[in-house]
Amino acid sequence: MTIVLVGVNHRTAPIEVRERLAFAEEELPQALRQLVDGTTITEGLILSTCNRVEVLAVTPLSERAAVERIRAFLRERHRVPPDTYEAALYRYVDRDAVRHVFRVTASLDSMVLGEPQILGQVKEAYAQAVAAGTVGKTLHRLLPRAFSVAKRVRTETAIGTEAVSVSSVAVELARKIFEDLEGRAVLLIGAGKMAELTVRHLLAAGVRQLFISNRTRERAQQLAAHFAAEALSLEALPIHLARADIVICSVGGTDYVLRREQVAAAMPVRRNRPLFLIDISVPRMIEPSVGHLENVFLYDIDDLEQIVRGHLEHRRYEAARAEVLVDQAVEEFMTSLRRLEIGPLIAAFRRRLEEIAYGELERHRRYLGPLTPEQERALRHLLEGIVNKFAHPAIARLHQAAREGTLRPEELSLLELWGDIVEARERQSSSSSE
Amino acid sequence: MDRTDLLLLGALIAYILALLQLAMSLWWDETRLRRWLILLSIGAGLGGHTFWLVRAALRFGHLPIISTQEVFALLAWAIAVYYLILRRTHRRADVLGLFVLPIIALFVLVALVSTGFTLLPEGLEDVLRMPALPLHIGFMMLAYAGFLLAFLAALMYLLQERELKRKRFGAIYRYFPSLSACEAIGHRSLLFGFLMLTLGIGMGIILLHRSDPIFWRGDPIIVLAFVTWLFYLVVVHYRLAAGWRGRRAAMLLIVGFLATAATFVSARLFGHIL
Repeated sequence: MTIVLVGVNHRTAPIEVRERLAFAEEELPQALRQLVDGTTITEGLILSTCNRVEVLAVTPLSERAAVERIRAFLRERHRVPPDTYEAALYRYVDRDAVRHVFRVTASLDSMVLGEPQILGQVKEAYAQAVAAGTVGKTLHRLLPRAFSVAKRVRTETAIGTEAVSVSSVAVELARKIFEDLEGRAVLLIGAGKMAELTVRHLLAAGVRQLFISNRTRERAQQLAAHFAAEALSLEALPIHLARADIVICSVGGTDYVLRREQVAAAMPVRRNRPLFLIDISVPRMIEPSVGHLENVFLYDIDDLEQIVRGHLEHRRYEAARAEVLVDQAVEEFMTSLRRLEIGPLIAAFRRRLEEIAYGELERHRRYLGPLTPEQERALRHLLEGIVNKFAHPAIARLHQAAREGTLRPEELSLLELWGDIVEARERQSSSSSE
Repeated sequence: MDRTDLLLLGALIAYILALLQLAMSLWWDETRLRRWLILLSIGAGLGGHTFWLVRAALRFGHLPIISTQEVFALLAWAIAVYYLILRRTHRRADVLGLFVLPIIALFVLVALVSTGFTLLPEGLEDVLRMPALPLHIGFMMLAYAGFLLAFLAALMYLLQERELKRKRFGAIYRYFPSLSACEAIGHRSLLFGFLMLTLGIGMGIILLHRSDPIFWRGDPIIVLAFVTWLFYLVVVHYRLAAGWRGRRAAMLLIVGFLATAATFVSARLFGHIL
């Protein structure tokens, strides 16, 4: 049994290629049933998101044949010239496939490290495959394990804790100043995409009161109507500074719209409640020395972007810690798979030993003369006793090792080798007897 | 070590366990189980601690407030009580435990290693049996606890503020509460401490009134207590009436606590009873 994964992601293929290979949600059940035919591929799952298309399969075929089978499947499903995507395909087998599934689910393979959506997407793909009946005992073990690894990564590393976009960093900073954003007032000076996005984030975080001012009054009123906010003229700014807790400034021009003395004058009126100023305009429109005032926190676009970079850097550092957790989980999973496989091997081992013993008995029976039923029974007991005593330490050791997950690969391959020899000899004897 | 000191040792271990649980819940994830285990550990520590204090009181026939051992045990007890109260009333107060629990543990440790030997100043027995005394001592200890936590919250405020001003973020930014939470915790603790101090001084006046003036005459501790009270009165007034907030308010809490601590230490050094 082999686990194979074939796919493309945001690193290996551009969007033009990924979109052609993507599977729409409604075609998944049929595609899954086409993939899993029960003989060449026994279990299958398809993960199709905007950043990756991956086919995960369990197969009795050899690695090479399995990969070929999946490539044929992709060719059949997508009427796209194969040479447009063949070079972008990656393939992982067994241990590497397991590791890849764990890494993807834990968001270690994502474009934005640690982003939380991917876990839900993998869960959805798993649910689809379960519904289509293409999940067997291997994937039923692999996927839930991947989910628990992802959860462990999320709780034991800080990979997903910090904001990684300018607008979400602004919200995070606001929370570090005000704790609760509910009941806080926001003043937006100017307009612009990023400013609007930040306002949206703040509103989602619980801000209820919003003032908007702009150089052109119509634009301010337009935006105010959109957000159900209050429109102000630029001249009225200093007065409203006392009412706002968070100011977002994104406006063009040549002269500062907020000067140090204006802000300083507003602070006593505010009874020194902290004031959070975000200046995302270039050139800056809030006088930089405002940031030196007590209880005033001024951030410009460079500050915010630097924080984003720092957070991404921190995510990469945390990702390295997460890789250790994943490696450990991969080892555990592979051991547990081997444990599943060891039962039949042990049974075959014992059966073969008994066959050898009885075979020897039959070979020498003619020298023994006629036997009474008691003697016959005693002989069988004798042989079984020898087989058991001989096999017991080995079997007990194997069981224990499999139970504890300490089974070494070389032990397993020795056993498999032995199984192969037995099989080969059986084939030989059956062909010579013919 | 006395056999009853085993109670105190148990309390020490429980407090340290609470600290470890808290560190883990900050480092990894704050699960319900961890939160519950922290409360359980502190509760268990406080139980053993209280029981030890009661045993000591019964053994000596008066409140355990004379020896160094007793005073440290009592202080740690008051801090633990107030920390528990604060945790119930403010959801971000738990992080303070990172500082509070080591202080509690340290005080309990000091109580454990110092002798329980009690030398009673002559003529004080009467004062020690006065019903107003336990109230006086209890209020004062809780006032110290309140001011200590206000001090710690103010310290966290200043550290967090520094990160936000410098725009370079590290562990403090990540694990400490927001400015507004630090401010709220500090404010609450200040009001609690001030209320307790007022009640404690009120009880102290009753004690002064009823006991032989020979023990108190010219005692600088009484003057210092009043100075402390006036200082905090001014701070409370300005915070409530004039809206003093932020950096300067936090610094006042720090200065206030350091002055109070100095008063307390000097009082112990010169052998007075607070």
